[in-house]
Amino acid sequence: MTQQYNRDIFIRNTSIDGVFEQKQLIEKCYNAANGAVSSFTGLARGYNEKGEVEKIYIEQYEKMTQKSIETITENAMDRFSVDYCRIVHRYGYVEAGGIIVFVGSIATHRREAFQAVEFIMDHLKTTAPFWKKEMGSFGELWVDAKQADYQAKKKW
Amino acid sequence: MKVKYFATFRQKLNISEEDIDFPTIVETGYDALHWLCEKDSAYKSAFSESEVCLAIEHELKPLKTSIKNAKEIAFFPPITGG
Repeated sequence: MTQQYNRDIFIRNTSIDGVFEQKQLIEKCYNAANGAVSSFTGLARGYNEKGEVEKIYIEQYEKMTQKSIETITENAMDRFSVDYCRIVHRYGYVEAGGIIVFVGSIATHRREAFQAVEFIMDHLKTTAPFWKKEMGSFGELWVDAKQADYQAKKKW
Repeated sequence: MKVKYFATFRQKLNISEEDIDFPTIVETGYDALHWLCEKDSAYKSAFSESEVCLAIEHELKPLKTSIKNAKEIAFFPPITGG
């Protein structure tokens, strides 16, 4: 029997409203056991080693991203006792300071809620097919993968 | 087979996808890379930029994985999302 996972995944090219996403998350707490809500919001940094970043461009492998994030989320939900997960990820152009990703979870206790969000982020960073290009007065620069991100995934 | 390229590879090659009939000696993702680089120096130049990752039918796989009978494969640099 296929397990039903209570989660929402959105991959979009329009801006993410962090307050709206947080509100959606809290509104999903209709179970009396829902005692913990945790989330991570990732923003486009306004600088890199070359100088000021005006915006970033996020490329995706469209046919692979949804499935890949579903797998990551289901693995997190199998591993941690969470009742709901919400993942919103951008593609296309994001101005510096804009939201790239929102990951939220609801659980009975805070530890599981924190861990699910961290697990999803650590796996998303290295296995969901997105690539970032930073743009500014220095020109355009594809972001290099960070060894630290691959190390972060290994700890799970 | 459909072969897709992303990020730096797409930009360097100036194509996002192409249909390729690999010869029978090409068995793995690594063989396909090698074959492309032998065929045209543009591939060699593009793929020398960074580590090469492979997806077969939309799933990440090691380069040593067989690509025989695959409908779609993709080559891309390490992922930098999130």
